[in-house]
Amino acid sequence: MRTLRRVVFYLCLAGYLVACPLLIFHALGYSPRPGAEPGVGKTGLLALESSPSGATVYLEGRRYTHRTPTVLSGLWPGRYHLKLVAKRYHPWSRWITIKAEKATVLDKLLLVPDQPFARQIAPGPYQSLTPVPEASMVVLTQGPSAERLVVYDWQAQRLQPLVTDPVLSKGRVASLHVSHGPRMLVRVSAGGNARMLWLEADRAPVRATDVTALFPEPAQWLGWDARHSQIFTLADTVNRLDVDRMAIFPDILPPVRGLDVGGQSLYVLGHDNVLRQHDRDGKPVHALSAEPAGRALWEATAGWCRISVLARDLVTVLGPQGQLWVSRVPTRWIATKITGLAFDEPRQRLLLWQKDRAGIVELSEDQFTTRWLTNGRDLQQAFWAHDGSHVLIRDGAAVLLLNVQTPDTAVPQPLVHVRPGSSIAYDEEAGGLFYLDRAGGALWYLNIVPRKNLAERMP
Amino acid sequence: MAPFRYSRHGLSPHDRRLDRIFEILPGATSWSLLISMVTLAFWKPRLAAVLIIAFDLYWLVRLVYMTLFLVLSYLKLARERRTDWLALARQAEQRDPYAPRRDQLVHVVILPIIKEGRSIYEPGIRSLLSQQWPARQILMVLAVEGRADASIRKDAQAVQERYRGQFLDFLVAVHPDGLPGEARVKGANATFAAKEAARWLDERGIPFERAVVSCLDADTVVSPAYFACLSYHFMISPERLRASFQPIPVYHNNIWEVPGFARVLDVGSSFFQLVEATNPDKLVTFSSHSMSFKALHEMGYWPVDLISDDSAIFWKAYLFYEGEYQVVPIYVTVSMDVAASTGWRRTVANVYKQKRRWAWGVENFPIVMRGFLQSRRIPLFRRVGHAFKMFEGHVAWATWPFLLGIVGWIPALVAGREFADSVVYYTAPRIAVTIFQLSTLGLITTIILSWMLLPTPPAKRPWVRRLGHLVEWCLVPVTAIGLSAIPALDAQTRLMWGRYMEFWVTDKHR
Repeated sequence: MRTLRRVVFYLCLAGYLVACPLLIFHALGYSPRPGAEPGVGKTGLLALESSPSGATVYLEGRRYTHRTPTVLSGLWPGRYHLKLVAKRYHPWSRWITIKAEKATVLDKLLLVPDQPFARQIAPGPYQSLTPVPEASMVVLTQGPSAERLVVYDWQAQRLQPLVTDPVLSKGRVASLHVSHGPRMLVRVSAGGNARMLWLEADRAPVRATDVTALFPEPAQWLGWDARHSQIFTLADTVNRLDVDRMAIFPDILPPVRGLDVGGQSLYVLGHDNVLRQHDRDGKPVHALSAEPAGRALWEATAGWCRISVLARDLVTVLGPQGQLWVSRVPTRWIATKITGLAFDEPRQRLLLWQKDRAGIVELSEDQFTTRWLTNGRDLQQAFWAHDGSHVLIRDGAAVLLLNVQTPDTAVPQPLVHVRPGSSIAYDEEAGGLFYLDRAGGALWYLNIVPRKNLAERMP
Repeated sequence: MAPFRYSRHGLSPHDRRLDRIFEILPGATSWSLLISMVTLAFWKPRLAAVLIIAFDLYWLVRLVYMTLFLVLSYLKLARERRTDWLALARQAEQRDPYAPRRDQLVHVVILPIIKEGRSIYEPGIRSLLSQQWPARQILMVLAVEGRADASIRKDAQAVQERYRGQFLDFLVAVHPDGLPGEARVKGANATFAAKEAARWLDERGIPFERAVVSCLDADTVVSPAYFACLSYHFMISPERLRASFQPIPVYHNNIWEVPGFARVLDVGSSFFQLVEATNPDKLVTFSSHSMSFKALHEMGYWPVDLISDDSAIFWKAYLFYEGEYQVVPIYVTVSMDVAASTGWRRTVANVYKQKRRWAWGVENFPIVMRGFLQSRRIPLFRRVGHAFKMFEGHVAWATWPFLLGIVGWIPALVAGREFADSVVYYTAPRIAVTIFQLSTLGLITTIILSWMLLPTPPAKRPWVRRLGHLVEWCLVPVTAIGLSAIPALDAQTRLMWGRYMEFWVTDKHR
């Protein structure tokens, strides 16, 4: 036994001393160099995950036995043509770059089905669709009368009229205001009178409160936050309207150049060109751009500025000419001629678009340069989709899907054509988009993320 | 040169400093290893991933190595169960005129108790009467602590009365409490009893060379072939007077009455001893075992101030005889209780405390190291070999389950972007998974062997119980951390801080 033990010990020791370095080299990506030149080189790898999974992988035309999700290791640095093929889905292909000792990660690849899964929710016909920010609903109009104003809540899977009062519902909708959350304001003209209704669309039936008395004069701007019944209006000055108490708190702020509500705070660009945070009574809390360089930017512009509170520490201001200012870089414009933006909070990225192109700004980097992704003709809306790996763009009536994981070689994939002039709504939790179809104006749901198919939960 | 004093008490200032250094070393190494690996996982995840790969592979190679010898050792145990040891002893007697005669051997069996009732130790006594070896050659010594309850002492007297006539003699040695120089440890009790036995042997003119002493735990039930096997090995060992004899400990007394995690742990302990038995050069005594009474007497009996008397006696002998001492593995089992209690939670506590007491064997490390440093006759390579094995064994006990089960996965879990973009972020977990998958071969082998080693379950639904035992092994990653590594780390940390452990007598319930 002693001898056997000694022999086995030395065999194991030798085995370990040989296997361990080889294993470590393999783990680090080292591989014997093929071809005439002997030696060892550093390889990279490709990590793939697609939705749906189980796609066949072709790299440089060579089929791999494993399907997605998979890791292809031992790849020499260079450019490769990658193609994913799955039954009933359009092939997905890109040129990708492999770097030594690096993993190229494509973990949110979306395959577009041959027959996209779409389901009609309501036949309509609807004339327009208005997304409601920070709420799982869209407002649909079928005509000018108030009774034809409906709201669809996809979480509750409920379609209901917004105005149910028998008199008011016969009136005309003069204006509809959405801000943050499931509350909205609608101005209805009925019987020669104009009434302002505060609607809580997350209830069934919709609860309407007549707040006409709170609006003695037209407002230039209206806003409220998702959770509180405090409306802020801008006429000449800024007023606060308390819906629960039916009280007006006038002149909490002097005339301003821009205004938005975030939580219980107001973010205000004053005529002194300083962006400040105020409490709901107008008391200043904090200045976000008091330094001269920041103020100088606004001094050079004139007109109304659109303020958006994207996160607790992130406020953006869109100037009259589309100049984009971000609170993290208070001394310069990030971009100009911007018509819209969307924030990817987990990855700290800003998606912004002009009329003819869309791009991304990485807020976690120092440079804040815009990386332009794609061109268009009439970019109206854009959304982050599938955990920030894709971007959904409405270019006129065409809705396109773009993979931003491989921006250099990405080609937008057309998804659907919607009713011209109508908006779309995208919800990550619903896994798809809501739109009005081109033919009849019906409300449809199109599934984008296969694992979150809202239609499976629909009756 | 004065013989080495195997104790941490009464040291010179220099020796005390040295002792403290070696007391701190195992715990400091274990903690440093764990903390540095965790720190590396956050700070240098690539390096941590590479080190973890190297460690996982090392662990796999060790597992293969140990599994091979576990199988060989088990086969030997299974084979030697069928051996007629008495016949072999007769043959040995005939073959070697210098071998001690069978009928002249005296087995001194010492059973230390403090709060164990007769229901705990009486089955063990009955097992001595069921031996192939004649009980008339067994001197039974029940070593009772003087501070034990009166009922315990009364039980001891009753048992003595009942069984005296069946043994060579049956002594009850009551160990007075608070003798100078003694701690409240089992070794002190056993030493007092051994001295009583020595007096008994002296009075009857029985030379110590003909006596073999077995110090058994109170719950020990020896197999019917134990003393025949022991006698045979004593008779044929050329260095019988400088040898200990280590059986294979199993925990079958109540194995089917305890929760699965406790069962798995103690089967693992038996397997560890089976593997150790294949390497007699490095074998150390553990739990119930036997040795030459002469050697025990010459070296001054068990340490009276150390808890881990079972391993300490080997090291004391090894140092006393300057390395000319060995442990002979004997392939026969002694069965003990799993440290169960009433209720699941109390069993966990009991098992934890028992494992911590076992791990407290690390208290020998500083004493042994001082002894090795002082020794001039033990060859250097042997000292280094023993020291390394002891040190590595304790550190591995306290750290490997953590490294395998938790630390190894930290780099992937807390990966920053830079690491998450590297090749090793993807390859390291896959390599680890492959290694663990390969290790299942070892696990399957272990499960099969444990199935074969365990006694037949109670009559009702034995196949169900056995199947359930298979599933219990899936708990190993959790029990290895909670009831093996943590108690070991606990013991080493106490030693590191100089918080020496009170002796806690394992709760035994039947």
